[in-house]
Amino acid sequence: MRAARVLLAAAGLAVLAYGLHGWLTEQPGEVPGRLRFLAAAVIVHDFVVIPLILAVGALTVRFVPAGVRLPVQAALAVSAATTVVALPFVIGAGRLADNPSAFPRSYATGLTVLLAAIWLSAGAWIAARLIRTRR
Amino acid sequence: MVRLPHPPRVVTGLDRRFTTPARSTRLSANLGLCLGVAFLVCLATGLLSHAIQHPPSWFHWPARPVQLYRITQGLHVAAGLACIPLVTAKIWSVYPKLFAFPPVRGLGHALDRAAAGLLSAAAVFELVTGLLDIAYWYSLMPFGFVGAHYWTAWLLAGALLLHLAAKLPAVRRREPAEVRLTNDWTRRGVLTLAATAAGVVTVATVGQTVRPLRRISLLSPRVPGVGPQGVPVNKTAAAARIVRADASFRLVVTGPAGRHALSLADLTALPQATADLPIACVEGWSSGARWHGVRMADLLRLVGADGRDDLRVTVDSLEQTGPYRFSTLEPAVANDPLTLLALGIGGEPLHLDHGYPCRLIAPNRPGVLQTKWVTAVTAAAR
Repeated sequence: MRAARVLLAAAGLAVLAYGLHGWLTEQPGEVPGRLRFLAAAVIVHDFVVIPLILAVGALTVRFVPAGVRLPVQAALAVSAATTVVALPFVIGAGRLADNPSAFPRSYATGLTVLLAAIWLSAGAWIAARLIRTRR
Repeated sequence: MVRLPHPPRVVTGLDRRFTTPARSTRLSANLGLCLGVAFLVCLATGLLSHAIQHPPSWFHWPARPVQLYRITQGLHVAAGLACIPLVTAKIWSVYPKLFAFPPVRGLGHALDRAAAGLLSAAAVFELVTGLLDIAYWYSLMPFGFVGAHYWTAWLLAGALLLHLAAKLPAVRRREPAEVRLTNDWTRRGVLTLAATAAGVVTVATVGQTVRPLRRISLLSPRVPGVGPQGVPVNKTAAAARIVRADASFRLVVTGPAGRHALSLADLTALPQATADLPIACVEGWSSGARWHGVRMADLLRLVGADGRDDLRVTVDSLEQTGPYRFSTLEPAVANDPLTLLALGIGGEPLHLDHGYPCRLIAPNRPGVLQTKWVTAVTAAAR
């Protein structure tokens, strides 16, 4: 295993050096913009998104009865992932007035339908759990 | 040496305040395995697409299989989108370690943490920029998308290899079997949840290239079959500042045996061929169509350039600016019987947004290289 680890680390360092060289030298004028975006992405994901997930999780522990908690938490998680992917299209900042074939759908409607389907599934799961515990 | 005061227990015990029993090395390793496979698919298909568009001298991309690029680039975008919930699940699973005390326990541990930090940063960067790109939300990115996405992929690959080297012993360690819990998350439960979220995202978007799913992919950025003449458009004539060509239009074909200036009537008088080929966009969508027009090989024959594998064919557009105002065809692609200078779709003349009066359409080729509004075809020595 030691040999494998050394090999992996050596390959990793070589690839990293190549990437870093390209990242810094290919478009030097863009490096500050990329760095700002990278920092913003990490800060938003690790110090806003994840704490939000933990906070919502804690709230469900506090307020949602134990018997239905898992389906509710699962539906919240899948809803969040779907919303994140949908958001750029719902906002539609990239929409082009002269090109109706790009983003041709109503994404707000699509997201609403998907969220409804997710919560209906969670409802069915809760019903199944309740029936199982009654027996 | 100055001895630092010992920090309060609030700081040193922070990582022990996370109590979800599902968090475990096994969970993180399993999520990491899924992500590793998805990243490998993204890296391989991304590098391939990059090589096709900016070919190094040793690289040759064949004209067959016809649908290959449609599949590889569809996979690139689909795998990237599926990673969005997986990356968040993975970072959630190791989140307490962010607050471990002491933050650094020596050089090895520092390198381990640096690699993991760079890996998660690069992964979030790639997924966010990729999503913004397929949504055309360029105003949020203070840099050119292609270069940033390409070079950060190398950072991600390097950091991933370092991370694997650091975590190999932990991954191989066996863990006790899980206790079954009814009202709390288990390792398997979290994995199933992450997979479900990834699955929902995939089904909601992949219809942009998998035509049978187009009605249930409610978030697909494109819909196969929706657009002028049933084909989506990436760059419109207005965006490319193209005005409709009139009777004075001539296609100039140049080769070793001379030069021809062909009017639209001349092109229609040449032998006509049809080809069922997709427009397969680098953004992951694709849409098939039945094209008709003149075979590129027949045009090249007019100027003595057909079947010549020492000549490279360049196709120029009426577009004045932009990186895609021309493209080059390798001899094998230029002479392929499916490579057309298309004059129409489904029996109609091309819509202006599809490249009227004529455009290139070739098998197994990124959409941006299917040059529209073609005004010149030139065969010259490489």
